[in-house]
Amino acid sequence: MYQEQTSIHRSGSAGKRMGLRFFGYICFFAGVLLLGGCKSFYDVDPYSVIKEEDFNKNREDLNASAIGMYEPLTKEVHKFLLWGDARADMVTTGQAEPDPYINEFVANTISKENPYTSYAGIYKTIARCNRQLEKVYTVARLDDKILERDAGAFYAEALLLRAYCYYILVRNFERFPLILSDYAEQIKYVDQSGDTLIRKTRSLPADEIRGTYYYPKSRDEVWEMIYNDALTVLGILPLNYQWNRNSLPAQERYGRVSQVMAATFAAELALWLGKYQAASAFANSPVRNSNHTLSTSGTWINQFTGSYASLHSLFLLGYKYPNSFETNRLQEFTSSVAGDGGRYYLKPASTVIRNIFSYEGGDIRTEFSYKVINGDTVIWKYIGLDNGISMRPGYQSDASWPFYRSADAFLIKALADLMLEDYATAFNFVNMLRIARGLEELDPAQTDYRNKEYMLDVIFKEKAREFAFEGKRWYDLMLWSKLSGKNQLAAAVASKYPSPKREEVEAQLQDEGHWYMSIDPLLWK
Amino acid sequence: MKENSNDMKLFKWVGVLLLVAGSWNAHAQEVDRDTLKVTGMDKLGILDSVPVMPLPQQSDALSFAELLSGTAGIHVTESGAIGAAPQLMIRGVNTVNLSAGPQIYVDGLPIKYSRSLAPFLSVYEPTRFGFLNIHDIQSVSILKDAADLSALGGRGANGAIFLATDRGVFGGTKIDVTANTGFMRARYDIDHMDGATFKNYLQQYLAENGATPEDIAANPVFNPSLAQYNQHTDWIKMIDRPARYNDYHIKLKGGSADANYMFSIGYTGKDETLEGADFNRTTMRFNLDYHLSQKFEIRNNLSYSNTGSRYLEEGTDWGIHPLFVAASKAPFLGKEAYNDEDVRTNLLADVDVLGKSNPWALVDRMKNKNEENRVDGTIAAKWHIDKTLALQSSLSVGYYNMKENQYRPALGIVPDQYRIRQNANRNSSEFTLIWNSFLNKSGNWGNAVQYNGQLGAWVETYEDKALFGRKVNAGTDDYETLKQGIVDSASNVRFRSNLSRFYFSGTVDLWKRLYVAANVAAEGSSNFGPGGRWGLYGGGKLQLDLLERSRPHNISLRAGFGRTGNYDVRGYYQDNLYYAVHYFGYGGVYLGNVGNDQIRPEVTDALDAGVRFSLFNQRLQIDAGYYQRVTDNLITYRSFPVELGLDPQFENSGRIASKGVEVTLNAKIVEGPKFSWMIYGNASTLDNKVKELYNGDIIRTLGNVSGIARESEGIGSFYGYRITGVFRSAAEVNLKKSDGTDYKPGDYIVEDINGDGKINANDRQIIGSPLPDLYGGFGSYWSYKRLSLEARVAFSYGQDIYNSFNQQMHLMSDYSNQSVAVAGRWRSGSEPGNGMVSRAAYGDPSFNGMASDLWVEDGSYTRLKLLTLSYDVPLKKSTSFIKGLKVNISGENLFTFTSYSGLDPEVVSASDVLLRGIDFGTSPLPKSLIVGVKISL
Repeated sequence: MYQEQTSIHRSGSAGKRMGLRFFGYICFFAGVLLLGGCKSFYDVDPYSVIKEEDFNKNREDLNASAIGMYEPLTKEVHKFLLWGDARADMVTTGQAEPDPYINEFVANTISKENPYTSYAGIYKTIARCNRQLEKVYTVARLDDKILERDAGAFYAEALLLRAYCYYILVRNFERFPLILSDYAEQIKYVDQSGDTLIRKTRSLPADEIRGTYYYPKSRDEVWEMIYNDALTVLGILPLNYQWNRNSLPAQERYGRVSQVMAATFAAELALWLGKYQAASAFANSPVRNSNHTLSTSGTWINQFTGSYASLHSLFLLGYKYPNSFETNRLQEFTSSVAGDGGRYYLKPASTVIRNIFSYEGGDIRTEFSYKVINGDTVIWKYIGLDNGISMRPGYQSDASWPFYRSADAFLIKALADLMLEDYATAFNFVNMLRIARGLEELDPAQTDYRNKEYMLDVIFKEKAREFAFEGKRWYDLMLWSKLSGKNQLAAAVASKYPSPKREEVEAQLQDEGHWYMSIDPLLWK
Repeated sequence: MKENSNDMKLFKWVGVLLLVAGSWNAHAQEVDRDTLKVTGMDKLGILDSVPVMPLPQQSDALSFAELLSGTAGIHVTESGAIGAAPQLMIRGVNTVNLSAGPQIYVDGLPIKYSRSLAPFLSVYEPTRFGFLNIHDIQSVSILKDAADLSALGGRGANGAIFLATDRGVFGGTKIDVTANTGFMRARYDIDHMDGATFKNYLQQYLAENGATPEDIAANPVFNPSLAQYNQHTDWIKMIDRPARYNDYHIKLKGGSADANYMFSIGYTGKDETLEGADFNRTTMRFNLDYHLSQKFEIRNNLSYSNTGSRYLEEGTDWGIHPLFVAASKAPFLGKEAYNDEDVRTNLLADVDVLGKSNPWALVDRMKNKNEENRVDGTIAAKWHIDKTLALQSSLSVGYYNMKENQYRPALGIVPDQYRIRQNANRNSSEFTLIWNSFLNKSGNWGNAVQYNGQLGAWVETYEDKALFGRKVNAGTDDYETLKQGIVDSASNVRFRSNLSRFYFSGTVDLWKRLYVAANVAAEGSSNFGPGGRWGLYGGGKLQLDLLERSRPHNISLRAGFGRTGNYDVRGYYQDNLYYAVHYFGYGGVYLGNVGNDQIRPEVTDALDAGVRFSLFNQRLQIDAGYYQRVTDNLITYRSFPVELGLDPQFENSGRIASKGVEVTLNAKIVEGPKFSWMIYGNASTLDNKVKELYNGDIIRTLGNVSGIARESEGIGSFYGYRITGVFRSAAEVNLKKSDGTDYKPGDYIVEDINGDGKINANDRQIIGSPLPDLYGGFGSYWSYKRLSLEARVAFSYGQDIYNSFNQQMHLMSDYSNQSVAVAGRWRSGSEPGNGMVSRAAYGDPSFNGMASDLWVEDGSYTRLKLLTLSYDVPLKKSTSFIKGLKVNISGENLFTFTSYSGLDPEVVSASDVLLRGIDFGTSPLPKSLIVGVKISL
């Protein structure tokens, strides 16, 4: 039937129809090609991510990038506890058969492949800071609402946070590269013949990328760079709680770097660098700032039971659980209760409880920093909700991680003035802290406060109480050694072990080279 | 039925010999028992005919994929989890990070076999083809040859399956009414301790973990006078059941000179052999072919389906895995709660003192439900311009919606971290719109040459969306919706993709001896940037008949090649992309993807060649072929040095290859008017290895089990430790944990492959492969007068299974009931056990529960998949309006020969190619008995 029909069709005016037909084909395929070949047809906008062409246009974009810089660090705070405390004298394991990699910190036998030594998160923040540094002034040109000082504030924030990241690295690692520009898309480096080359990052194999790294010739070089960055930002960061002329909510006041944090940081850096006059001067800024005081012992615990505490808090990594379900892993590392998510149970070393905490009176720090719950001695700062027995709900590990508190500035001031042999000021600052925490002030008549060695011991003991389990002890022992000119770290750390491990660790840490973690990033798979 | 390993080996060799010597497996699918049916898939740009596989006369299958076991060229793995997608593999695995399932076409509409969304509950991946009633399927064709797949462009890398639904035929209305019913039963033989033995073990366990005799004596669990701790409960028996199957289908077919139609409506209901899991489906389909004029045809398809299913956790979430909880819960406890006076109440018992959920709560009160709705429609017009030339244009729309709900009450169910109760809901949808048009020209040049050519264009837009929300800790268990509680998490994703293809294909038949087919297609996809957007695909094949086709015997040689690809990348990786993060309650962003304008589809180059003997008027057909596939430009994550602070970035780098031999046989041994006998069989080998991975090993983990892609190794091999024994005493301990502390006596001795005396991640090695070396099927069909019998067998050899369920039953890291074999554990220096089982240590501080070769088993099997007896009831036409009556009775999965110790050697763990073959204790495929009738009116 079909054949009959088509044969009739063919007998018609074939030439004219063929012409029309081919015109029809051409129109048809042209239509298809137009639709299929249209550029916008292939240019589909993503839904849950932002394309570069739609981003970095205005102040809000810069602010979102700034918030993004902090995020990687929030996932690393359990490592800060391991690096700064687990390997020092104040923390030990609460488990009979602890996790091997965690126990390497407690036992000071850290292997190169230990995944908890990974500094990847810190370099993520560094990368995001570098990108922000390179984008700020480009964006500022696009948005005329961004004034010079606003752009400066964003620039300084990135520079300061990057400097703080290198501050973490320089005190922890034997070797690490300085990455000071945005490597995401291209890498600019100087080759062996001295030529400056720019290559697409993606085009370089990993070995070549590593080959472009600049490793500092000495640790001092890093210290100087960080110090210079801190000094740079002091001039361009806005003062208290003002960010682009807006008052910041508390989360951003304390959760982002600030002018007062920069001053405290600069003071601490100056102390490490032996620039005691500068340290003392920079410390004046937070000390005299009425928004940052030692406050009272009654409000001291709010720093830990809440996200922050007015007057006390200065710079911290914060977690918003109720709306955003942000958590860290501190409960996992410090709780002894498996049902709450406790897994590794790092606890205060008994020597610390005996020797460092003060039992003379109502020292809030002694009352709160650790507790005995159901027979287990636990670090209370990250799991406690009050000074009694209330604990954070299981898996709601949202305690803040303080980097700087007002007390830091006071003790830096005390140390700087002590090193300047301004013994009275140093002594007064120690007493100010003691009173603020519920202790009696030391009697100058009964205290050998002009004895530098003795006072260093007093101040570092005060520091240990004030900042117990906040990931600072190892570096305080390093600083103490530096200030006293004597290795204080080895004996202090060794004291938490029984013999013969004690002697073995002490001998090992006599070599300052062993204070820094030796790592192999290629093994962190 | 399980046989011991010797029987299994014997059977295996007999089976293999049979295959090799005489019952190789031929193109079983090419022969539709009586006639060779082929499907021309001109809509896809494939002009060449593709053989169809014979469909069973009766089956309890919910989707077409369950019909494919034992079919040549495709490896099928099913599980007994109701509504779960069987795993399909055509000529190996050809990707690591993109979708690995074959591309499915239903009447020309492409539908991905696996969905891109993560499983809603642990590992359960529901079939996406429940919407297609198997009674509506007219033909199933498996595309595996290089030249056929190249015509599919960026969709052909994993093979393809073409499904055609039934259509009307010229003649009066014919009504087929099918009704099947039956039941299914699975055996849950799980080795575990009885109540008394477990109580004794529990006392020893506590003592071995530091409890004093006084502590143990004071523990009420061991008080013989407390009724609540002295029950005799068979938890497994409580939750397993004989399952029902019901299937009803009515199909109307008919047509006149102008219009043919097919209308069907069907209902299927099927239970799992565990309580609380079932599947229901209602389908409707209307296919219409209409001749508007003698030159113009219209073709319509319209279908709607609704499926609802309820399923169980049968994966890695052991706390709510009903079968694992039933096996590991103390038999001395009971289903109901006891009050303070030790009197049984009518209330369901809560989580017990040993930390275990109540299995009944998991199957009865906890609800994991899916509801799917799917509408597909196609309008195609064909214009016969002249005798040899036709223009066809079609518009196809597919819309699919799935609602997934989870209700997890508190009573009797362990909390999920802080989530005491939870209600979760995910609503996802997919939309596809395709316009496909092509011009077809066919004819001949003289008598010697016949040709057929096609030039076409295909434009497609696709979008999927998913909205997820979870609320937790509502005030009571009474809230089964998102009404109450606090929002715990929410997400919203959307993905769009546009595609265009311009294709040409042609065939030439020379002197009725030499057949040549070729195709070429240019394909542009919005999934890539300008640098990698356009892919050029093509292929060709050649078939030479050595003898004239009209002769009773023939031998033909064939060879083909083709390039196909995999463009299924979801991510716009060509652009710099900023991803959202949050910090301290504020939203932030970071550069998550660094634009890669060169990223392009994975490309698969394939070759195949073969010979076919067709003897005695096609009564004996033997086909043997070789295939080889190499996938290049593998899309893998590149991890940059960590100091760059970048997330891993996608790029094209890597190569994977597969090769094998396929043999098929089909023999009509007896072909008489009363009696006929036919045998068929097929076997395929597979050698599937990763050739190059410039970015190093790729390791993914599910539960505690890792799979690896590593150069020169089989894709998805199990990656873990090798155990060489158990340390019997402290003196024997010669290995340290990574921190330098010694292992304890009773810990497993791990092979220290780098010889550093420490056991850490560097001592992992390949401990097995989930991919088979040899697979296929065979069967036989007998008919005598009106009676027929068919038996189909599927087999698969060489694959390993990681028996994670069995490992859990030997873990001894908590208060779980365990295998009776833990009696041989290390208990002390004086009771070192049998050297096979580690010490019992709460919390497993020495990682004795790591993934190791102890739990890797040979998963080979041969299984009688289907046995069907049919009888055509003789009817007197004068006395009945019934034109035909056929009665069927079928048994499925009646016998399985395997040495595997788990519930079922067919294991489906995840569609991820690196996480296959892990047995988490999913329900085994049940044995089923189905009785049915098909009435033709």
